[in-house]
Formats: sequence, structure tokens, C-alpha cells
Amino acid sequence: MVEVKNKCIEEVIMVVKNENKLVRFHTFQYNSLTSTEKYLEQMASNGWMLEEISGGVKFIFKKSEPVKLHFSVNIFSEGSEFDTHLLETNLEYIEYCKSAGWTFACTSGKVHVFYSEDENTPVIDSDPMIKLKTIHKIMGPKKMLIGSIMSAMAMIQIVYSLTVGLNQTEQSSLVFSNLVLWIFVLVIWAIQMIGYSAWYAKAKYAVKNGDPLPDVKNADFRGFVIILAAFSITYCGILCCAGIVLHEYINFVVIPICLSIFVLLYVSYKIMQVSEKRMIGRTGLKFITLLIVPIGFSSLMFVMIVGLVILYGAKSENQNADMITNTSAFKYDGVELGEYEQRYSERGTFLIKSYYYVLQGRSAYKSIKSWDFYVWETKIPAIHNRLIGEAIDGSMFRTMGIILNPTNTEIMIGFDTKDVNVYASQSEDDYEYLLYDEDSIVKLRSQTKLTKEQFDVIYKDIMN
Amino acid sequence: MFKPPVLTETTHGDIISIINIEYRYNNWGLHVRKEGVTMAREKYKTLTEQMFYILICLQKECCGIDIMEMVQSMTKSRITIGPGTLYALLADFVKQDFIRETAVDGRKKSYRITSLGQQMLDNEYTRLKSLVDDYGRSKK
Repeated sequence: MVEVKNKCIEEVIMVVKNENKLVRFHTFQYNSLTSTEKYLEQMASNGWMLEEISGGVKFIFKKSEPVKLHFSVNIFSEGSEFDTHLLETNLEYIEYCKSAGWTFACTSGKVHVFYSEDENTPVIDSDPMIKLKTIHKIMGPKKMLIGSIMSAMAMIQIVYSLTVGLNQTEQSSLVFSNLVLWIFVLVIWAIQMIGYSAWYAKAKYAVKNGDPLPDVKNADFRGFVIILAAFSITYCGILCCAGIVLHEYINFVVIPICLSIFVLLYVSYKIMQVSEKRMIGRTGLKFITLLIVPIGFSSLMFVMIVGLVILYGAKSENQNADMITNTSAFKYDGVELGEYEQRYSERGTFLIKSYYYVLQGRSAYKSIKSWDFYVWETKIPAIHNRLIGEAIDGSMFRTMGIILNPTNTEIMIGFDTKDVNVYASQSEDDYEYLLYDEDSIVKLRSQTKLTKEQFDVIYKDIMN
Repeated sequence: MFKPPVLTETTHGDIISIINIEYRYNNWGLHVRKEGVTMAREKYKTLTEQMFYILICLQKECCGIDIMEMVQSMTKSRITIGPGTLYALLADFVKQDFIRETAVDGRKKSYRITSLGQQMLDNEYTRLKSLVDDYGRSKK
């Protein structure tokens, strides 16, 4: 009862514009046309007769008397997805179907819809083997080719994000969301490819045994997955290209990009509608919509991103200068270290918070030129332990900055650092010190060897 | 040794050499010509009932659409050819040169079997007959 009520409310909302017309969005695939037939039969028995399929997904129904009809939704292999009106070959095909007792309802690309009142009207595709071959010819290569490319791209991205680029993934919410999206892409396309292969194997077996082609289960859900797949391709492609060049600045463009995809889809859909109305066919407006618009859109995005790179790139060059926070004499407990400028920049804000700052002597006071601090903070013990391990064993490509020379590393003895572990190493020009406690890891690079007093001052300043 | 394909002429003059001859490699990588008529495509090695009846009907010139009714009356409705399957098969047969278009009247096209198609039909008949004969002998 509740279901019926909901359905009525839904229908009322749908028909509010025109009482005699009902618009429903329905997705179908070439191997799930039986479910579309059942859907149309149900709609006809409810008094809604299919009038038109617009844009491949918009089913427009006309109010009629409830009638029990048999629908046949068929693929015409010589038709094209770019067709917007019936060509001579289509008409010839329709003539054949009419002579067998079917009435033509409408067409959408390769798909032609017929109906008949007589239950015993001969099935249009009476040879399941030919039907299977037609479906496979249209769906198979496309699905497998795109699926393989997308899965391979996703695998490369996922492996990169979890190995070489793991620290970036943990530092940036954007890179992390990019990883999640690629996992999503991999799952979608794996489902698509495995699902299709399983269906094809099952269908082949059924045809060999003389059974009809099996229908795809959850066809609506699969249609939804395909739409999601299309979204994820566009989104990941743009995000990936932009993320490489823009890093965190992409945060400013992610939302407009997401919104613009919806705008693009809407505009494409509208152009397709216009092209269908004006009957502009294979080389016309629909062709432009389906091919040129996405390419043009991607190019526009690329130009936009390059523009932003130039814009923000110029800004980031002066970033350090902007980051001067104070100028102060660095003194502690009577130990004077000189007057410094402090420059600060934030790098990561996600699972790992990382920042970098420099204390630079304003003059060549006490021969100290600059101290560089690389600070990592994380509340996740697993990440913390890994970072320390990498810092100590010198896996430099992962830790970017916490680089010690393991052969020359020694635990510093004699510093007053109760809960903090300190390692020190000396390279050709620099002295490097690694300090860590429960939450943070700090690398200090100095151009002079620090005395115990100096180190104490710095330690207390940065750790407290 | 490699031998060039022998060109064969059909009754209406079309050259059909390529689809008649199959080349294979032997163990030494040399071309070996397989003699005799080989099927253009694997699926026509044995004809389905629907294919068989379409070719039977087209031994006399007739319109594509009429084939559905002819087959139904010929087989007393045992075999029904769907319009979609009929359209696809006719297009494929024309492509494979088993039948040819003889007349076009608006959207109504008439077809007739070619000598290659006739050969296919005869082969199928021989195959089926040998099945029936074998069955008959086994009963004696």
C-alpha cells in the first residue's frame, strides 16, 4: 500500500507539467534489453505508452488506455548511435518487422522498439547465436579496450600512490582523494569487464544448449554503474593531470571542475535533443556532441589548468618571502644565537602535517648562515613508526627531507633530551640532526656543528 | 610451394576466389593450399535450419519479406524465421555471395541464390542425406 502511494506521488510529480506526458529516465545496455521490454510492458499496462526515447536515457510516455502489449526491443546492427532519424536501411528493417506483425514504436540509435498485441507474433531475433554475435560485436571490444586501459591506468596510479608517492598521499587530502577515485575506477571497470565476460560465457553456453540469451541481473544498477564510470573517467582524468602540475592549488579548481562536468553533461544532452529534433545525423550535431564536445571540454580544462599553473607558479616563487612571520633575536637562557628571520611554509595538512621553516641569520653573525627545520607530525602510530624507520635507514626517496647518512649516523649522547631520541650525521657541508618523540619528527639541518647548549635551546624551542 | 589462387567464375560473373581457398602453414612454414571448396566462414560449415530454408526459398527469385511466410507454410509453422534474423542473414548472404539482389521495388528487395549458395545448399543436403542414410542402414 505504501509502495503504491509512493509510486502515485512520484508519478504526480513527473506529470505535473503535462498531464498526458510522463518522463522517466531509464538506462539500458545492449545485453539487458529484455528488462527494458518488461519495463515498457509494465508501463503500457499502467496506461503509459512509449512515444519517444530522447538522448538515449529519457523515455517519454504518452497517456493511453491501459493495454496488455508485448514489446520487442532490438538491436539493428547496421544502425548507428549517431543516427537521429530513420535512414533507408532502418526503414527496410522496420518493413520486415511490420510484415511479421510488429508495430514500430520508436528508435534510439541502434535500438529499435516494436510492440504487438498478439502474443504469438514471431520473435524478431529468432536466432540467438546471431543475436549474441551482434551484441558481442558492439559491446565486447569497446568494453574490454576501455576497461583494460582504465584498469591499467588505475593500477599504475594506485601502486604509485601506495609506494613511491605514499608520503604525498598521506600529506595531501587531494592526493588521497585521487587515490580513492582511482580505486573506484578500478573497481567499476573490473566489475564491468568481469560482469560482461561472465555474461558472455553464460550466453554462449545457453546458445549452444538451444536456450534463449540470459538476461543481465540488476540491469538498472549496472546502468547506474556505467554512468558512474563515465563520471569517474572524466573526473579522474582532469584531476590527475591537474594534480601533477598544480599540487595543492588544485583545491581551488576541484569544485568548479566537478560542477562543470554536470554542466557539460547537461549541455551535451541538450545539443543531442536539438540534433534529434532537427534530424541532423551521423555527420551532424549529434556527432559533434558525442565526440567534439568532450574533447573541446577537456582542452578547455587543460588550458584553464595551465593558466592556473602559470598564475600560481608565479605566486609560489615569492611564497617564501611572503611567509616571513617575524624578525627576532634568538636568545635563550643567556645563550645568544643571533638575530634571525623566520620563514615558514606548510606542506601537508592531512594524515601527516608537515611544514618547513628556516631560521636565517640576518648577518654573518657567529658564522651561522641558516638552520632548516623539516617537521612532520602525525597522530597515527603506524605512519609515525614508518617515517622514523625510513629516516634512520635513509630511504630518501620516500621521506623527502629526512635524509641522514646512515653510515655516519650516531646517537647523540650527552644532550638533555629525556623523551626525545636524537640522531646526528654529518655530510660534506651540513650537520643533520633527527629528533623525534611520540607525535613528531624533526630534521634540523645546520651549517655548523651545534654545541650542547645551542642544541638545548633549539630543542626546547621547537619541541615545546 | 606457394600456388596463386585459382579464380573461379560464378554464373553471374563475380570473382569469388578468395573466399573459396584457404591457406595454411605446414610445419616448415610453407604455404599449403587446401584443395576443394572450404566454407567462407566457420558458421556456414553446417547450415542452421533457418539458413537452409532461406536458401531453399531463394532457389526461385523472391522478395525477402515473403520468405517468412514461405518458410512457415513450407514447414507447417515448425520453423519461424524472425524478421530481424531474416534481415541479418540476407545481408550476410549477400556479403558472402551466397545470394544476390535481383530487383529493387521501393523497399522491397528480391534475391536469388548464386552458384556458390547452391553449392552450399547441395553440400548441406548431402550431409543431411548421409545422416538419414546412416540412420536407415542402422535400422536394417
